[in-house]
Amino acid sequence: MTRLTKRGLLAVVLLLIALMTPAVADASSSHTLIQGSGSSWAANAINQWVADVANSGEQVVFTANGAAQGRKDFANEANDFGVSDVPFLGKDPTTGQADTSEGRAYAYLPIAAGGTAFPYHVEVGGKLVRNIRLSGQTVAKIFTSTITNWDDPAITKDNNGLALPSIPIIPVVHSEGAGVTNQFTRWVAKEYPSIWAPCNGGIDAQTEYFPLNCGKSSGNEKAQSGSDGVMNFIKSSGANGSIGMEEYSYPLLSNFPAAKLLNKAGYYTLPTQYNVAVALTRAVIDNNPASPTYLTQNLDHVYTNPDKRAYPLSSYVYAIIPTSATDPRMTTAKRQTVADFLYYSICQGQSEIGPIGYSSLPINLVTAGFSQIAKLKAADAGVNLTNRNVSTCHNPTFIAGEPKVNHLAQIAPQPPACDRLGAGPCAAGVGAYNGSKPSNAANSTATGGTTTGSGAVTPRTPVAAGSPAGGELGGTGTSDGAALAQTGAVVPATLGADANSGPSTLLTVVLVGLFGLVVAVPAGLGALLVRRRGPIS
Amino acid sequence: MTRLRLKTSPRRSAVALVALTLGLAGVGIAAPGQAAVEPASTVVSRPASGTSAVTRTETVVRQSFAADGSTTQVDRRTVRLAVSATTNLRGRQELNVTWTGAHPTGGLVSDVNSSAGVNEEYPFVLLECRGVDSTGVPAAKQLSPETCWTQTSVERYNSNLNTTYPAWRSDAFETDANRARIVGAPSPRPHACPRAAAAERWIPMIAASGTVYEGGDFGCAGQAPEASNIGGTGLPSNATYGITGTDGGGSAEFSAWTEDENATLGCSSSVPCALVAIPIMGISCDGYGTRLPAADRPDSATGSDAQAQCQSPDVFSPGQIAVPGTQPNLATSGALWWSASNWRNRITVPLQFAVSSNVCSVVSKEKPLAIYGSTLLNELTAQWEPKFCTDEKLFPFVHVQTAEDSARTLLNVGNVEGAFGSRMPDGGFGRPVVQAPIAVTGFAISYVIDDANGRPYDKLRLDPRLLAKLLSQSYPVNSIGKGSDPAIAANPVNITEDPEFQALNPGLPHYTAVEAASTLLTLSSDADMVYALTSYLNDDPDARAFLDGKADPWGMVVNPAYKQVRLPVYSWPLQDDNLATSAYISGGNNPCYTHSPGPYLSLVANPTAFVSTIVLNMQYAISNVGIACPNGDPNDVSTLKLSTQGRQQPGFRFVLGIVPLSSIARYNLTAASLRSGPPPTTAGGSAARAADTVSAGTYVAPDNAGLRAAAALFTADKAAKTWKVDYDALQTAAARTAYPGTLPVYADIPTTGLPAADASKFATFLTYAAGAGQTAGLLNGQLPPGYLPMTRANGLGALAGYTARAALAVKAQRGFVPSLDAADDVTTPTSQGGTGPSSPSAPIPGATPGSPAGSPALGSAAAPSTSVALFRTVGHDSPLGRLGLPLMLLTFLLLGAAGMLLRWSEVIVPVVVSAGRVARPRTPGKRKGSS
Repeated sequence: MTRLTKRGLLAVVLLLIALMTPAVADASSSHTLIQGSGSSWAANAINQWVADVANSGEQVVFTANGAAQGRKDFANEANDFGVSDVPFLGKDPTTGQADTSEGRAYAYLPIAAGGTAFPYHVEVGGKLVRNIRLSGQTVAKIFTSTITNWDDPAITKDNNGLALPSIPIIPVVHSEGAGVTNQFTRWVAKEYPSIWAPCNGGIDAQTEYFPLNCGKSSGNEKAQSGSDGVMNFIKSSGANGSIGMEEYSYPLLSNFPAAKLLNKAGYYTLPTQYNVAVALTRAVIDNNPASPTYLTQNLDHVYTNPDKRAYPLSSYVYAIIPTSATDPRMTTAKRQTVADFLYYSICQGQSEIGPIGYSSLPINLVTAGFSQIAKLKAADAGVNLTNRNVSTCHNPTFIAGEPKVNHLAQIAPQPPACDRLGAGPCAAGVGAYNGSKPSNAANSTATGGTTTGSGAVTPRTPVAAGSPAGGELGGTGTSDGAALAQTGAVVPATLGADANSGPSTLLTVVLVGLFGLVVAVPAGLGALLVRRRGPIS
Repeated sequence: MTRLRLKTSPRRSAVALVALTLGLAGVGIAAPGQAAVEPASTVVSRPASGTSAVTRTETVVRQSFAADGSTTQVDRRTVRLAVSATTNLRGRQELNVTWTGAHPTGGLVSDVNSSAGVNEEYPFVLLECRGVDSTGVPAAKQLSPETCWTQTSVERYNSNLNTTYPAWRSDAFETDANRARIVGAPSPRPHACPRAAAAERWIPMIAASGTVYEGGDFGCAGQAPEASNIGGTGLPSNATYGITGTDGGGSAEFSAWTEDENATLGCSSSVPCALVAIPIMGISCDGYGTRLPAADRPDSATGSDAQAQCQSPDVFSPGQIAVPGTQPNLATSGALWWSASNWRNRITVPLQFAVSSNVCSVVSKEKPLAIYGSTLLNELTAQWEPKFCTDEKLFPFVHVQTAEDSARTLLNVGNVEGAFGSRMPDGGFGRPVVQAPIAVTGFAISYVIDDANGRPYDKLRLDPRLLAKLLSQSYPVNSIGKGSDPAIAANPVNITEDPEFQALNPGLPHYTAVEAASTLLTLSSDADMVYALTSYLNDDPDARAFLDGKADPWGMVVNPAYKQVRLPVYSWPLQDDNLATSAYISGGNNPCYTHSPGPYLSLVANPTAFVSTIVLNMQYAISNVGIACPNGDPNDVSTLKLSTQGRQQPGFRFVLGIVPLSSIARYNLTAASLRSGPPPTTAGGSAARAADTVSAGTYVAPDNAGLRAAAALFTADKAAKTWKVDYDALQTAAARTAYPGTLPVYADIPTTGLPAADASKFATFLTYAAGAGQTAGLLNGQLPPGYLPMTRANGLGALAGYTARAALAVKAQRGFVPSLDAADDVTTPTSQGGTGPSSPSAPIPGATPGSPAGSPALGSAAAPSTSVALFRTVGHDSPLGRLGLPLMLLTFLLLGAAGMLLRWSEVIVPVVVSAGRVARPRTPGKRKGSS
């Protein structure tokens, strides 16, 4: 073979390789394993993110050992980030337990929103009742053991006169220091001090350790360990009459009902991603970057949000990240992994957690979150934050061009009439819509740009996923099933051309043209080269 | 033996090599200076494991030096070490390490990965160390105790307040300098450190970066960032104080770490590391200092004391459990693993790590497509996602792991666009949805059980009735459970006492004090794999009869709380509500339980919400039994939290849990063989005969052969357009080799209502799943172990073919659901005015009757369905479009090259040139050749 042939073949091979070589992944920054611990309230979301980021080479180990322990681990330098529903309290306002970071420098960063739900187990005639609704006052009295039976007139009133049979109530709380306990007790201390203080040893304050049976040595109230323990107890067959408090994702994943809670506008709502987003538009966030509690929440106005859709017991959960340049646990690679994991969590991670029981962060908190992540770079110039900003952030609460508006809260569906105080109650599943695409679902499940006659029906109450057969309070809401008629549009009437299959004649012309080029160019090129170098020997 | 192994042929390796070469060349051309490129790094990133096992044999000795310098041999042993894999390792890969011939261990601790292990006598220490164990490399690249990882400072700092001659100073093989009173202390001494003790030895940690972490008392002089002096969070340490049984043998699972897990240690494909096994033999004592220069020797009285100190008798006998507060014999303890006497007995097994796998960009341009559902696909999607995000012809997607049934319901009402699951929802989908098979896999019953020698047992056989007994809480657990459940008090206390279990697994010890041996860890959230498990129990006559109240041949009865339990279910119900006896509650032995008593047996079962928890528990033999009350103080409410029991003591371990089959290979777990085929008839006869009968059944391991045989028994449900596991067929003779935990996993995708862009992506996903995705292997985009490739060779061509056709229907979004058999879609005319020309597609038969009460199914039969013509689209999967162009280019480039040789160009060129002249007058004279 001649040199020329070799060169030609090499060119061919190189060209082929160039054609075959797929997109080049960007030079990924160096990551290393990080460990976090804390809130089981947020664990369902965090576990999903941990699984997601593995494909970016980020290894994250999260231990859901409760918010109190997560903060303790942070203080003890036993984790790389903590997750907690509350900031360091100094000391627990009720038990007096010390609660500081013991000097480890930190920043808070909201990572998810959600609602504290009240999953319950009430069977009537052997079937699980799935559409119970309760007012805040009733809930407060249940967990302070002043309402002790499901046939209590207050519960009957909440359910528009439909009475449950006599079943003793078994309230179920967490036995460990839990964020959910803190969420609940803060709410009840603020909203119902006269009910709460006597139960909490006369102290009208929040706590992470629930005063079981109001401090009495016995009673109907049970403390169970962790979210698993609480849900296992409620689901067990002997727990008929039980009601617990848990992040909404837990009842959803177990297909167990949660009580609708009365809001200030007089509607009973569930902590769907929409209702939580609406409620949190009234959260007062500490916006002073100099404050040690920067970005933490004051939920007083969330509890009383007058929107018809609001779920009163909505809140944010926080990551606690170490910010000192001399933090003994941190390295550049660890800071990078913390930064990238949190970037994923507050951006793309927000888009997938709605249907599993959480709600997404609004843009102001995401933007502020970026400023907190930037502290990792301030501590260590080796951290790479290029392109990790709002413009690359796939978060469902923003919409292009309208950064100030919480998209999710805007598109949140209105509650059905049967969820109003004095009406209903709605059938199971009504008013529980929690989908990822509300506008679509509200209109019809048909998209694709074609409209049918039935598809034009005005959006009515969307139905929730999962309203399995079960007992229910004979509600009026079943008529809402009529709204489902809109979904007749599942079959589009017209067909668009297949987008990707162009006319075959064009393809033929292109091929013929390429054929010509391919035949002529190497030959011509060869000829040129040959002439330059003289005849082939 | 049921560990899954991946087989690779030499031929595949050769292909990989070629691909590697090409890919590397491609880097230079396409992206100079860029980091890893897809084919290059992935080829070597996840290669086969299990093919590089190594065994080593080493003779180890302990000597003694008398005052006159004469030596005697105290002990001599021949240690044989086997490591299951040593090359192409991935981070956190578990290596099985087994050994024989070592000195039996005394003073056993429960967690061999904790720093408490330094107090064992004669442990078999396993460490990961950086460097090469050879004097032939520069000192900085050599392996030494200073480059070996330990999690805590205790493991690399020794001090003694009382004597200036602790055992380590009498080490005959130590250098003169290292036998000084204080060795290795930083100078100046940090203020945070206590005043110098009578004798000290510091073993600093030298990081891969060169940084030296001095350590010291509680890390007072600085510790590596990965180090921690308190355990409890995150991954357990990999430093192991392994336990050697009284027969000289032992085993451990060792987790190999790369720089991704531990940057200080810093092992990678380019930084060599090794597993160092140090069979602790004890210090070879030279208390008199006969090997030291005369000036450095202690006086004779001191020397005599030092020698006595060094030759102290052992505190524990072999196999004895550690006694809290009792100090071991220092000279033979794990604390001196670094001493020259022990270190010289080391066995070094080099570990070679694979190049890190190609990964997705942290910042993604495109919002990934989300598919919700099945945890059975976790390992598959973990391997496919990097392929999809790095291949620009594909697109990023994300698998949101959630309960399958909830994902299906979300899909049914349009809340999500795609779901993974293993079965048709009850009553079918209420809208046109294809159920396209993605993978054939299943569930496994994973376990860690130590046999009578304290060694991991790997031949576990279980039948449906044993699983039913475990799940139905029919073992009373202990005396407390017997008190709370008198109806089952006469039953065997746990499975190890059950004659049926003993018949299947002869010779296993009776773990009467291990609560976890009475339960099977399962999920509290819903899962299709639990539905499959309970279907398997429900269809087995013996298991069903037991649950219905019939005693087993040995007289064991079901817990009345579960009598006639309705199966199958998505999550196992907790039905025993009995509290422990009031005597136990008020007894004060368990203040946490006293604080808030709950159903006792349910606390023992303690199902968890996360598959990952079960996998972790099986990997580390952690008992999830939630009745422990560590540090419970009745006066401090914050301590009164019932906890899980935690890690079990090696040698006495017994945990069982249900896991996805793919976790078995990924985490090196062990899986039980399950009974399949015709049920043995145990009716009548003596108990002894019953034992023979159950033992005579056929038990099938979850390997590819077992999956293949089970998949052959899938029944095609033409009406529902899906394949189902036929649990009745699993009772037939044809199922003797079929693994009963086998399950298909489907992608459920609507064929109407999706935006065109997403429909197109889903179609691409299905096409990939039907083709390239079924190539078995550990590379990105391939099918990991634990999944049976859906190929014709495995008898699953029809499933893959259906997925390919489903892709077309998804792409078209015309509400058409293809029939299982392609022929059915082109022959019969429609009878219902459905959306397809042939089969009724929009309302899946049976959708309406079964739909939940009070919520009419979406798109039910009442929906106005419009008749549309169906035709196959061409663009998406056209072989011409995909292959035609590259093939033609290749052919003609080659032809062109050949043409240069054949000189026919000389004929054509003038024609072309003249044509060019006609078209456009050229400027003459610029080039010789063109004029």
